[in-house]
Amino acid sequence: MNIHFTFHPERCVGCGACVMACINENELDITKQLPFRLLKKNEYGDGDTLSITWFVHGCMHCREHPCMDACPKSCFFVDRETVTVQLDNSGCVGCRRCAQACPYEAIRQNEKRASKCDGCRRRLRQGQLPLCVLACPRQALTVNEKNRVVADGLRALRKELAEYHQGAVQ
Amino acid sequence: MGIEIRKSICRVCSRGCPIDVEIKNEEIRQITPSNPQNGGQLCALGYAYKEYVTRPDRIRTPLRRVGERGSGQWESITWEEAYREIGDKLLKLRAEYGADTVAFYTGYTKWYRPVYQRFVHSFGTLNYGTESSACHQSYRMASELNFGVLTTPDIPNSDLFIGWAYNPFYSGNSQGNPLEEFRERGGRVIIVDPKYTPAAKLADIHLRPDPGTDGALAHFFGNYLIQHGKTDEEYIAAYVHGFPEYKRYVRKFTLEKTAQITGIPEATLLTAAELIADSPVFSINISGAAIPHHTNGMQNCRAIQALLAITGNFDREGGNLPVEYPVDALNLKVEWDKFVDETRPLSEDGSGYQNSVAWHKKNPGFRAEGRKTCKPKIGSGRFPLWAQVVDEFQSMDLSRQILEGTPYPIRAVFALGMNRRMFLENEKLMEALGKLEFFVDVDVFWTDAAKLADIVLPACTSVERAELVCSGPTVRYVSPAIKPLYQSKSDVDILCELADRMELADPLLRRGYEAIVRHVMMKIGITFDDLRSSGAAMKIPGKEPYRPGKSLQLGLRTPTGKIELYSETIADIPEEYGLNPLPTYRDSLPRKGKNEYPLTLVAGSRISTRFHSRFNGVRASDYFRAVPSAELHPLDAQTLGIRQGDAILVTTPTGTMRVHAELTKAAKRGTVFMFQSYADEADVNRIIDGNHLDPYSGFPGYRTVRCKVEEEQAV
Repeated sequence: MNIHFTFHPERCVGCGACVMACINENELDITKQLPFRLLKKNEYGDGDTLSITWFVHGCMHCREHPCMDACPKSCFFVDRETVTVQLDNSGCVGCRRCAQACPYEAIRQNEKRASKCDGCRRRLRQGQLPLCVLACPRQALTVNEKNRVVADGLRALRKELAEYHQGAVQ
Repeated sequence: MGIEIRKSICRVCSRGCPIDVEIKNEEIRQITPSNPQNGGQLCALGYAYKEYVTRPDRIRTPLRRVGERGSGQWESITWEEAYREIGDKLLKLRAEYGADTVAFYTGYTKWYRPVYQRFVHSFGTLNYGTESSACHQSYRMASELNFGVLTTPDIPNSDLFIGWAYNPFYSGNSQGNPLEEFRERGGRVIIVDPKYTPAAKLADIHLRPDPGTDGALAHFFGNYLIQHGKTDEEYIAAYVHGFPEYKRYVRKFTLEKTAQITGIPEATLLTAAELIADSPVFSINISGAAIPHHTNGMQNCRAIQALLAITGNFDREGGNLPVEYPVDALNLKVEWDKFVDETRPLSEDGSGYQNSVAWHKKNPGFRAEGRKTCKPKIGSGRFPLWAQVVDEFQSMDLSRQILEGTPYPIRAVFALGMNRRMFLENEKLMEALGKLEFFVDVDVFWTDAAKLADIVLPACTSVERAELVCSGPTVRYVSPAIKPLYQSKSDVDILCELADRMELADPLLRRGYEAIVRHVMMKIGITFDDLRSSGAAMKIPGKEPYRPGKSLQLGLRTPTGKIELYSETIADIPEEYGLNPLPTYRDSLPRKGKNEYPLTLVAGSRISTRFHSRFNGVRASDYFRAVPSAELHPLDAQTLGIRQGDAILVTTPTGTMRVHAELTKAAKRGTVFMFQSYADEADVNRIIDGNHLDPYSGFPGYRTVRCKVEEEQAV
C-alpha cells in the first residue's frame, strides 16, 4: 500500500460528507477539537460571473511531509505498511512548528498537543478506504492516484487555500 | 466478541439508503453505506446517523404527565398502562362526541403512514393529517390537476433538462446526479434558483428569479413558445384541455413585464427562451418544497408543468413520464392504497377526496355501501381544493380549529412526532395544544410539543425495527439491526398494539405488522418468507417496461381524461373561494410593507448537514453551523453595516428572530436565506404570519416573507 491523498476542487460540492465521516469515525468531540478535514469555500466574481469553489483540507499524507522535518521531538513517522504519515503525540511539547510547516493546514491542537488525521489506518489495514474518501459522493477526495494526479490535485488545493487567506477574492 | 455487519436502511429522509451497521457487543460501532464497491453511497447526514440514533435526548419510557401541562413532571408507566389510558380516553371521547373530535397527526417520516391512516379510518374519522401539509403535496396537487398523476423527468433521453430549484447535491444523495453525464452527451441544462448552488455551477444557464415569481417566468416561456410557433399543435388538439384560454392568459407575460416581475435581465430571459424553443424534447424537475412554498406556489407548479403540455413533453420519451399508470395491471405494486381504503369512512356531506372524479377513476371497484360516515376533515371549509385532491386534512388549519372550535370542536390530538418548528407563528400551535382535553405524542426525541403532552410514548429508529421497504419496482424486508433502545418501540407496533387494546373493529390491524405486510404483498408474486429470509431487495416479477404515450392513449385520471390547463376540478369549487382554473400568476410576496420591510426572507433553504430539526444537538452536524445563521449578500450586509458573523435581528411584521450573519454571494441581492427548525429565538417559522397560506393548497408561504435586518446592538 502506498497511500497519498489528493483533492480535486472542481468536483467538490461542499456537502460536508467527508467532514461528517471524519468526526464520526474518530469520534471527535468537536466542542474541544476541530475535525481532521475542514470544509471551506472561495467565492469568485458576483452576479452573472459568480463561481464558488468548495474545498476540504487536512493531512494529505504527502511524500514531502514537512511536518516531520519541522518537529524537534521526532513525533512523526511514516507507517511502513501504508506509507501514511503518522503522529505519536506523547512526546509533543506543543511548539506548533509542524502546524506552521504544513502547507495543507492539517495539524490541529488538542489539549495543547498536536493532533492530525491518521489516514484511517484501522480501515486501511482491513482493506477499506479511509472513511472521508469513501464518503465523498463526488470522488473529489481520493487516494492511490498516479503521481501526476496527486501533484496536480495538491497544487490546486494549495491555490484555493492561498486564495482563501487573501480574503474575499474578486 | 468480534464485529458483525448487519444490513439496514438509513431513514434520515424518505429515501431509505441501504446501510451496513457495524455491531460490536450489541452496540453500533459505525454506519457505512452498503455495497460501496457498486456505487452505494450515503449523504453527509448518513455519516451522522449513528449519533442521531443515540441522541442523548431520546425518550426512554412511556410517560404520564403528573404536574401542570408543560411543567416537565412525569412518571414512568408501563406500555400496558399507557395503552389502557389512551384507549379508554379516546373511546370515551368517541362515544360522547363522535370520532371526529380526535385529530390524528404525524410528522416526518413516512414509512408507517398507511398503517396509521388505516388506524384512523378504523377509529372512524377522516381527521388524518401529516407534515405533508407543508411538503410535496402541493406539488402533487398541481401534477394531479394537470395530468392526473405525478411525473418524473426522463433526463437521459432529453435534449434539455430544466431543474426548477433543483440541487441534488444538498438534498438526497449527490452521487445519483445525472447532470455531468447528461452534459457530456450533449444535453443542455437550465437551473432556475435564486440561490447559487453546485447544480447551478453545472448549468448552461442559471436563472435567478426573485423568490416566488416562478409562475411568471414559466408563462413568459409559454408565451414565447406560442409566439414562435414552437408548440406541438397536434398533441395539443388531441390531449390538452383549455389551451385557448391558456394562450390568451399568458399573452400578458411579455419580455419587459417578466423581467420586471422576476428580476431577471431581459437578455438572460431571451437566451433561456431561445434554448427552450430550440430543444423540442425537454424534461423538468420541480422541487416539491421550494416551488410550492409560496402563497401562489401550487399555481406556479401548474404553470411550469404547462410547458410540458404545450410542447408535447408529457408522457413522451425524453419528457416527463407518469409514475403510475391508468391501468392497474401496468402498476403491479404492494397494495398499500387498498389497505388504507378497506376501513375508510365517508364524509357525510359528500365532500372530500373519496368523492372526487380522480378518486373514482382510480378506484373503480370502490363500494360506498355499508361504510360509516363522519364529518368533513379539518380544513375542508377553508381549503376546499386541498380537501378534494389530497387524502389528508390540511394541518395548517389545525390550531385555528382547536382554538375557535369551528366548524366543530377538536378535543384531543394523537400525534406521531408533533413538531412545532414546521408551523407558522407556532406559538399558536403551542397554545392550541395546551388547551386540549387530551394530547398524546409519540416521538423518538423530546420536542417542545412532546413536553405539552398528557402521555408521551418512545418510538425507535430504523435500525431498531422491521420495515417493508417499497422502492420503485423492488421490495425489501429489513429486519432490526439492534434491539430497540430503552423501552422504545416501532411506530407500527405501537399502532397495532393500541388498536388491539382498544378492540377496534379491524382484525387485520390488531394482528400486527407482519400480518399486514403479508396481506399487502399478496399479489406481487414474492412470498413474505422468501423476502424476509433474503433480506435483500427483490424485484417484483412480471412488471413490464412502460411504453411512453400509453397513459395519454388510455385517458388520464382528470375529469376530462386530458391534460387540464383549464382544471375542471378547480372550476367545480364554489366561486366565493376565488380559485382560478387556469394556472394563474399572483405575487407571493405581500404587497404591503415594502418600505419598512425591504428584504425577502426565504425560510427553509436547505443546507446539506441538517434535515428538519432531526440533527439539533448532533455534534457532527452542529459543527457546520455552530450558531444559527441567516445568509445575506455581502453588499446588502455592507449597506446595513453588518459584518460576517455579527449577531443580527431579522424582523417581520409578525416578530423578530436573533441569529448570526453568514455572508455569501450565493444569496441573491435583496434576499435572506434561513434554514428552518432551529429552536427558540432562531426559529424562523415563528416569525411568519400564520395566515400567510396558499388559498389553493393551504401551504405555508415560507419563502416569500417581507423582513428587515439590523445589527443587534450590544446592550
